[in-house]
Amino acid sequence: MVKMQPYVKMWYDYLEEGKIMGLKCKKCGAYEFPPVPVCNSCSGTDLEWVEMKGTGKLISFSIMQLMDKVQVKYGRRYIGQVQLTEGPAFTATLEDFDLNKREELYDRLPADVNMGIMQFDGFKFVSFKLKD
Amino acid sequence: MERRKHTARSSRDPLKIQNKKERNSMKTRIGQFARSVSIIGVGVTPLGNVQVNPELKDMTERELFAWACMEAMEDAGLEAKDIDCLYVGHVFSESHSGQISTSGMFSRWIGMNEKPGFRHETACCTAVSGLRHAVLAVASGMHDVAISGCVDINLSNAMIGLPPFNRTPAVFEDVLYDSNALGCDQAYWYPGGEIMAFLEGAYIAYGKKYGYSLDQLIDAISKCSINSRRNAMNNPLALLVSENYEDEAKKFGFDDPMNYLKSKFNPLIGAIQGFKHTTGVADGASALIVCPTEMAKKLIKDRPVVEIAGLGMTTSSGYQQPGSPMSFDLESFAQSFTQAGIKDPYKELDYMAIHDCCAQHYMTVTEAAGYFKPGEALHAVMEGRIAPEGDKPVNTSGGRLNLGHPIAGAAGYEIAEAVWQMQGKCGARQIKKQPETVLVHGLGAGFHVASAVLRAV
Repeated sequence: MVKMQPYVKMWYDYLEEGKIMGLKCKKCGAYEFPPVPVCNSCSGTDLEWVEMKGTGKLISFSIMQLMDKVQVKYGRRYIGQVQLTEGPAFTATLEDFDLNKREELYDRLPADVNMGIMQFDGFKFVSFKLKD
Repeated sequence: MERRKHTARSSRDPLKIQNKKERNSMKTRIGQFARSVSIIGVGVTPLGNVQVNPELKDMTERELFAWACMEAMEDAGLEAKDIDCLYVGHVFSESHSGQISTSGMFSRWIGMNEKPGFRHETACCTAVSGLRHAVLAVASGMHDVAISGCVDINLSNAMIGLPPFNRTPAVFEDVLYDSNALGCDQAYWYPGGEIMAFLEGAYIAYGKKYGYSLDQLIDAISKCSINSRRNAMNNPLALLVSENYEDEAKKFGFDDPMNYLKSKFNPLIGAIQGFKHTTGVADGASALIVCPTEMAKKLIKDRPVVEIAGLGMTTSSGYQQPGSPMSFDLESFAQSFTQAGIKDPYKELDYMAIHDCCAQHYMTVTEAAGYFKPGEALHAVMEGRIAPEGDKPVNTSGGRLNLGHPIAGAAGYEIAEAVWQMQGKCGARQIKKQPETVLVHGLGAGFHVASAVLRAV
């Protein structure tokens, strides 16, 4: 019998509590971040909620300047592509870096980052910040 | 039927390289078709705006769809009664056309009432997915002749309660939302960006990997845009462009279009890519007809028959694709190459058609396919090697950058261009040596990468 959980809501609820959570496969140890119920490494279905280390490497970036009717609420911002320490990659806002210093950010790649939690309009979402 | 595992992916998987282990241990098993299948007819409409361009004025999705399909039937020398099934690619059927299940409505428009078929969509690679549906229907032996038609009207919206030639112009921010946000997972991706930002990230990772400066990266995408515009100006299907970038730049006081594309007249939409380095949507339709190769050879005597030698398809949640090359490209190409028996794409491919919704794909995607060696494509672009007269031509049609982006039908224009190139029908855009082996790449939001190897037989 499959025991499905409302993974998306649970993940967002954890963010409200200040926790960045993922799933770890009990069979092979691979991480699913953000959470999905089946392991994409070994097909395992027995995964447990774990708190992520909150660190990773910034592999690349872009600047959001093309604003659709929703994104316009959040304005220009860096988007970071990050390889998390646990393995999965994730894409989210890179906070607190000068938008006029794209060359400096490019020179620093790959850069160590910490994960953070950013407030959006009515919900929280993961973000990244450069270490130091 | 023999099923064999492909091995082409493992050594090129960027996730494997970055994580020091194989993350995704699953392999797609790729077998061979039960019988060889070929494209027997292609058809496209001009690409423009149904509210503006006289060639398309007042047409609904029905006329555009029928136009492309009837062109394909004419090209194939077949009538509707000769075709067994239809696949209708229609991405924005709900949001722009105010309709669902349009395959039912459109079948009668091409004389195929009550024939089997369905509507499908995989965003911008819908036409390659349609090719896949059609090929599998014929290769399996279930049908002999299948048609795949794809249509979207993107620059205006149908008005609720009125006949569908009544349309209201689409608002830019809404088009942007539809074409970007609807293809980003709203659970885990969209708050963290959108498609164009994500794809630019892959290019910046590419530049870092090979030690290129940001200026070099910008110059290369500008060069791609200039080449693409030149190709589109040689393509009578392109209704939305009117002059080469050389002439456009002069109007704004620039002798060199490269400087024009670095100026305020090409405003940034990302960290380095400008508005003119990316695509603009258009209204239009494309279609193709496939049948057994044996049958195609009997019907076509005056031009090469184009066999579908290999198909590839990946589904991926996008936000988990770090850096470049992107693993969903690698896996899709590996499937196509395995089925087609391509061992050395650099030597074996004569032409490549890519989904150039943004100019950086001329570097990142061509290298993922092995059409260029790692790090080579940027220089190849700067040296003009991707032009029709170059030794490594790419998207001679003008592509999505300048021919236009009809979403569902997009890749159908590149498949048609590839077929015409292989048959020597491209006029001013014709590659000197008619290509014999071609790779088609389609990228659809979501994401999907659908690819196909075409071979003249």
